[in-house]
Amino acid sequence: MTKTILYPFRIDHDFRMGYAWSAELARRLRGRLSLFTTVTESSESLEEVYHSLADAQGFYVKNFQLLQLRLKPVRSERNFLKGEFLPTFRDFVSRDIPHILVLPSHIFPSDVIKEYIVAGQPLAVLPSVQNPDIPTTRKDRSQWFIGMLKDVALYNVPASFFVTISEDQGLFNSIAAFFRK
Amino acid sequence: MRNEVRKSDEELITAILANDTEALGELYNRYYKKVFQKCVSLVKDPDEAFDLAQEALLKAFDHLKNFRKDSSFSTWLYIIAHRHCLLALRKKNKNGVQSTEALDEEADRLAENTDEVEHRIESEAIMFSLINQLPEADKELLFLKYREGESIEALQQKLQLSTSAIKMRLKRSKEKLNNVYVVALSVGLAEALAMLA
Repeated sequence: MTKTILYPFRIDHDFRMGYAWSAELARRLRGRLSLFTTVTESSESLEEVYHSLADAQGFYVKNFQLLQLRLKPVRSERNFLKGEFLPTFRDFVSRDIPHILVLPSHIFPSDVIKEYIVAGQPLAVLPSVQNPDIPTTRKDRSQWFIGMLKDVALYNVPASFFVTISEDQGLFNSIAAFFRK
Repeated sequence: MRNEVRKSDEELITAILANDTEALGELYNRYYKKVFQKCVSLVKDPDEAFDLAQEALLKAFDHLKNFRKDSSFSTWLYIIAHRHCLLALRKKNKNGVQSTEALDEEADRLAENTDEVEHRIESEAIMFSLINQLPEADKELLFLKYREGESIEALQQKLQLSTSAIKMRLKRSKEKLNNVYVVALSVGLAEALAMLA
């Protein structure tokens, strides 16, 4: 069964980094990336979301995907629902529980994050830094995902997740093994 | 502070063909949104267009060595995106022909849309070929205004010309293009291109 990595975002905050990180996590875990945001009634709103997403996709390809030998389309499931962001999100998650939830901390109140922690939801909370330094060399970029993981707070995952980050694939093999259980 | 010079598409392509993945990322980033917009205008569904844009770009990059530089990269890329969307519409159309009335209507609509798309591809291909043969100044102005969607004010600043000069140049460029476009449609593209040579 394919694991779902759910990444909620809001276009009024820069979400390129979070999107790219989640897309890369999904790729490494061979999971399915599920995206969530809310839109208003107007068609411009939906169009704006797709434009922002297209921008984020370009960012991902440039900074993460090109480290692979061959480009592949990022398969994602897009859930762009009408309604208020937080209640609609909660409702969505309660109906379709993801295997791992990637929460950008700057758009979720801490009490909501705590709720998911208490409920036992596997969780990766992204740091609130919105404009990180973007590596400019291929070598630096190759370690970016792992480097960023140092700043991601993981909850409800085995202790092996919290071991010192290494630069090899060992950590991700253990994550992948966990989520394939 | 780094002061990077923006590379042209052609320079990036040369670098990509020499296995420079940085250049590939740059080119992908430069065109993803534009290709996406193109796909939306064809398939009318942003969700579908999002995937089609990715696929079209990857298809173009896979065949980059076949790009012969007799048109601009953007023209070549947009034609690939057009064709990719067209194929998707056809496929959807084929799968959509089922027994229910609603699906039949949808198939009809898509079939009409497909004809329209084919026609538009042909027209745009002709138009791009002609624009590429125009004098550089005309070409730049038309691309900025109609492909990039720049406003008159933005053009005024970019080209350091007055509003009336911009409007006049646009008018003349369009007239020139219209004249050869008519020739291309009625007599043939080669004859129209010869008029511009």
